[in-house]
Amino acid sequence: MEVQIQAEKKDHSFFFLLINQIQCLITALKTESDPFIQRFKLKRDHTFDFPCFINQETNIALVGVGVGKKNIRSRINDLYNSIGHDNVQFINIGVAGGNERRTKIGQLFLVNEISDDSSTDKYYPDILIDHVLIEGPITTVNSPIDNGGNKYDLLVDMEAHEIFSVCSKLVPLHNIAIVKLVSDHMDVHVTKLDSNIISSLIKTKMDKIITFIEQFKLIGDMKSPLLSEVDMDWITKNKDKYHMTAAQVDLLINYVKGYRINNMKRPLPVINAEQPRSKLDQKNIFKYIREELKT
Amino acid sequence: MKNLKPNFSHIYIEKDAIGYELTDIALSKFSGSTIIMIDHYKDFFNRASQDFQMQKKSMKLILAKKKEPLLYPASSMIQDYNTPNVFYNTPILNCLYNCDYCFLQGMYDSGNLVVFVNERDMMDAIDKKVSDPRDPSKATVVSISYNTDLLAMENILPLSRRWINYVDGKKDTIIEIRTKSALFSSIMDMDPSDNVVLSWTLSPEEICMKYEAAAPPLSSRVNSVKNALERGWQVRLCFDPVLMVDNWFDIYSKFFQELFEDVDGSDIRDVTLGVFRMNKDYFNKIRKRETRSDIYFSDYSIEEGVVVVDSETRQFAMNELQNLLSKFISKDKILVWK
Repeated sequence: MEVQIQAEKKDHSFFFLLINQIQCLITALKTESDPFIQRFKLKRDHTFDFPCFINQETNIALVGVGVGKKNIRSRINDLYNSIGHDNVQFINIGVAGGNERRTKIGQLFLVNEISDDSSTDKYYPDILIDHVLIEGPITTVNSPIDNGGNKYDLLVDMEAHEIFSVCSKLVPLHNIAIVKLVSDHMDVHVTKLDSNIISSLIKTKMDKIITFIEQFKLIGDMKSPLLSEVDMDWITKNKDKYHMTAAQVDLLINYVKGYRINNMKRPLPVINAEQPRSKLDQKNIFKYIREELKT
Repeated sequence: MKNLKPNFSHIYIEKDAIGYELTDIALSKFSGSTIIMIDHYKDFFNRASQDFQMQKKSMKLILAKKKEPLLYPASSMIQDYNTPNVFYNTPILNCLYNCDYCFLQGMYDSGNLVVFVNERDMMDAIDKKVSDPRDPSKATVVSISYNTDLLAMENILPLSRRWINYVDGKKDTIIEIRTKSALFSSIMDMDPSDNVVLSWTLSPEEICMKYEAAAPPLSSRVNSVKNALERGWQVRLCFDPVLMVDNWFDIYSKFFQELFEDVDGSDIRDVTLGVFRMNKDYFNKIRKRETRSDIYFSDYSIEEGVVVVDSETRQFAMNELQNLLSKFISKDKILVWK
């Protein structure tokens, strides 16, 4: 059984191998997912045993987590572990109940504060991007609210708190966004919401949501690793060739970073020393490499 | 920065910070900002998974009430001021500038700014300390700009002005306001106070451009220094940290020469001199965060938990620079961290 799980994980990793940055949409309902699957031309990845879709050209994925908190942790973690790098943005998009006095049906919000009815923990997303959405707080509840929800300031849903809790352990806060569309006013209509109404609400706001997703991507683009794959290969090659110790490798990485900061485009120097024949020899070669990287 | 919210697009207000004058000033200054109420500033400032450098691109303002301790003993990282009665406090956490060598990047997980609005409590704490000093024969010195650049904030919140008003005329109390700002103009209408030392950190232009990119250029800082001196303020010049870049001796020689052609050394209260040094944990944290500054990839030694230029090099450099400086300012006014 264990062997089988590992094999499955390998398949997922292969799927994401060529992707350097990915935006992952998180939805609860199928009816929330469908408009995005169509719009972004996402294809189902059957190696996952839950709804997971991807477009490898645009680097957009979508994971369905179902209603409520139950499956959120396992599904997001499973997807994230398959991606194999940490340059991931998570965007939870879905419908929410809205306070009747402060919201209109179909209004779109970017969440800036997340509470939970059954927890004292609050989360605050880092809102760095210059967006045009209205911002506001959300409270995650355990069951649908149909009594008017007067005690809730603005929005309620059943997933945001858990999604933020899980994602914030995986990626920096500025790479997580919660976008909510008001579908009801926490009254009896909440039980009558059908897929057509929700899909139609999302489609109406689709352009605005896409604009946000595109803007949000820019934040992810701002942070790229200092060392390229070529730099890392250079380190590995020289580490092996000159039998470097773990401590020397740590130092070498720092030296290479220093070099790269001052020489953004110049390739790393070619090291043509002979293979070390003694410990002293090895130490001297390491010193030589250090000097080469100082230039 | 393009595509990003401007600084202070969001203001997070601790519930306890409501009703203070500084809170009202901040809110009126940023009336278009999104306001979010929080229980405690640490709920926002100390969150896990923050990215200091990303947040620096769109800083948020946090208004909070400072609880004890309101005053801290001076760090061993600063020069000896010839009195044991040296303290610092934290009217603000973090800085508008983001200098490459600054320890704040390693000290805090957040790049956002916290302003403590209950300045009166911090002032009372100083009064209490002054009434019971370690050495009664000497004045008590409090650095109020240690974890920030207070004067740089003056156009946003008039904190320096309020601190100067508080301390002016007090017996045995001196506050130091250390800055890289060019905003002396914002307090130029005030009478100079014997209780205030205005300290400008100055670096050669090459260093300013490469390592202090968000701070005003050298010429603007020097203009502020000259204006302050002309109006009779006590001015300290801080050549700290000295960065041991290639040709450091030539660069600093030229810098001192040009600076003291413009500024009369005899007018200066004193100068401080010290090489780059940083708490080891902060240093390692900054390095781990993929800093883009080469400062963190040079060779250093570690002395009692402090990452520092090795002893021999630094003694040599400090002696050389002290000699250079002594051409312009008397040696007893040069405070060196060795």
